[in-house]
Amino acid sequence: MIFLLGSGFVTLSLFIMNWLGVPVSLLSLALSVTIFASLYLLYKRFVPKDPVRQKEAWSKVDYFFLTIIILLLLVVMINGLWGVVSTWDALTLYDFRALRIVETGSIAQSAQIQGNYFYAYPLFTSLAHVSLYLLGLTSPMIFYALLFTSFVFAFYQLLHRTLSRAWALFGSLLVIIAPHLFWHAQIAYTNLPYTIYLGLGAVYILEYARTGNRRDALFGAILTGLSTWVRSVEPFWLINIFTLLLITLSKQKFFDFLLSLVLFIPLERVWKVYVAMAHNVVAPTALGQVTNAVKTVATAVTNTTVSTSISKPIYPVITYFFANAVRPFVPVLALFALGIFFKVIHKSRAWLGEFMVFSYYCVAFYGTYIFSISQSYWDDIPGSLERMMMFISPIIIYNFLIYYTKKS
Amino acid sequence: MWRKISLLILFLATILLWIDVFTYQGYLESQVHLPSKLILLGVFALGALTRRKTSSSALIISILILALYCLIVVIEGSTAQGYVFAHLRLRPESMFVATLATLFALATLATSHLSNYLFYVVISFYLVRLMPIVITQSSVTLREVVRAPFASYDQKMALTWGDFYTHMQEIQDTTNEDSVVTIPSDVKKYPLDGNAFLVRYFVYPRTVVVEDTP
Repeated sequence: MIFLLGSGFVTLSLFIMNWLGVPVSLLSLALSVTIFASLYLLYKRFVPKDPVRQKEAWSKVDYFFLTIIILLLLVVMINGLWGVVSTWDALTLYDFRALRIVETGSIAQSAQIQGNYFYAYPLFTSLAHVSLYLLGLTSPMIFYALLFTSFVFAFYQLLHRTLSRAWALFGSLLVIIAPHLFWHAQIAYTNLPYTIYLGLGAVYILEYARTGNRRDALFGAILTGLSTWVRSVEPFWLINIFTLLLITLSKQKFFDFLLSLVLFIPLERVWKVYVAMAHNVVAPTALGQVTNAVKTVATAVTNTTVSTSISKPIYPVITYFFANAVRPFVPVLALFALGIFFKVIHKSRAWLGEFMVFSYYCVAFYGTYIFSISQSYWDDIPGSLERMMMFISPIIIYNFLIYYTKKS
Repeated sequence: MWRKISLLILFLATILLWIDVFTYQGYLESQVHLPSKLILLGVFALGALTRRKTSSSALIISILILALYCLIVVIEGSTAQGYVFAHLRLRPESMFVATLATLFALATLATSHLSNYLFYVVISFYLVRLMPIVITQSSVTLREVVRAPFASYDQKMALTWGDFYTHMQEIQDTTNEDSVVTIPSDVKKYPLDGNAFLVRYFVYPRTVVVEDTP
């Protein structure tokens, strides 16, 4: 968890410091790490620790799952040490930006070199590459391996709060082999960090619903905020924040929500404000983005000249969406469906996880539909939609296991 | 009595599904006019009706079958297509349904509760579908590392990008840093050399200019 929060914080502070005029260098990196370490020590000093669990003896089943997990993570680590940045988007954008920032020490200058494409995604992965290049590494691939390993460990810890070690290890194994995650731990794309931050953020929010512990709400908000520092276009964070609002309302802990917003908003705003300032425009608000999207659809539907052209795409959009956002995730969605079946049978009233997953899918479909009526090349990159939905796996696995183990 | 008959039908159906593995995909359908997936669905439904806890070792056997399946898929994935058939007379492409049916059938012997049976079925599907992918990816990664453990950056990039990378290196070696590199505009015809962003990554600080090509 420290590595996940630390890489988000260090890259963000490198970015903000450079915005304020401090060149990106080994010194600014050391300063960022020092600030984060100080904050972490303060947190450790003043925030009470979680209650220590009773020691469990390791069973054969535990060892069995642990062995498989270690072997798979070892493969990821080996690739992290051996591999180089070699995938398309990583070369053309993320690593290109990183190399130019290292050369110039300035984010603004490298933006000038690259042009508008520079602003397509926030700088999280690029600045992570920068940090490793500044430390003298020739390849930043180890970053993705460490990020993935930290994620698996954090996911295990979250499950182990309530489940036995064997179940927590089993859940971690399911996450490792979930569609695309293992492969993305070996390439330098933004989808894995996005999945990690958004997925873990959602899991923390679900934990908050279960425990009512303010710390879970704050971690959920911070991780969700960091997901927007990795990829800012997708509005899935809205679901996490809206769910958090619902929980705080139902628990009558509105102060927790306000505190979460205070931590979340700067993380969500920082890149959008930077891009807006670079283009001399006003940064769109979250609500503005949503209403714009609604306007796009409303205009297209009410405009007769456009409606004839958009009346066609709805069926292709459904088939495209099914082929790329549903079919690749059928094994995980089977768990989701089974969870719903159990909850219906048991007349459960805990539907928060299902609500979140369903909302993510609605947002994804809505986004795809808007994209299809506004861009002629909407179906040119089917893999993009598939990668975008990777984050649902950890949420579904967590939600299912917590319920199933409680009932069985 | 009916339960024993159901179990017998269930295991016969499972064995039937293995016929495709030893012949070819679609052989069973051509003989009984029933798609394999429909038979698999039948095995699942019959299993849900006849489940009973008779053997605790059913779970261990299931894990062994899953491991064996993964091994065969990995061997096929990391060698030439047809390797497994040539040596073991098995069709890996038909094994997915047969393995799943076997695991479903074993699940009926592992649990008496419907909820647990459904859990086994869904987890079996999850593992049979995804585990081979992860293991094949691992074997591909490890194979590359073992083949060239001390490969240089250039060698690793050449492994991924082939002649395109060699071509980009030639440009770097033979032109000055202030040169202008002209690339064709037809990205469909030249997906690599015609992509300005990609070429720029390799030839920077040279300027990349897209020029109309006939």
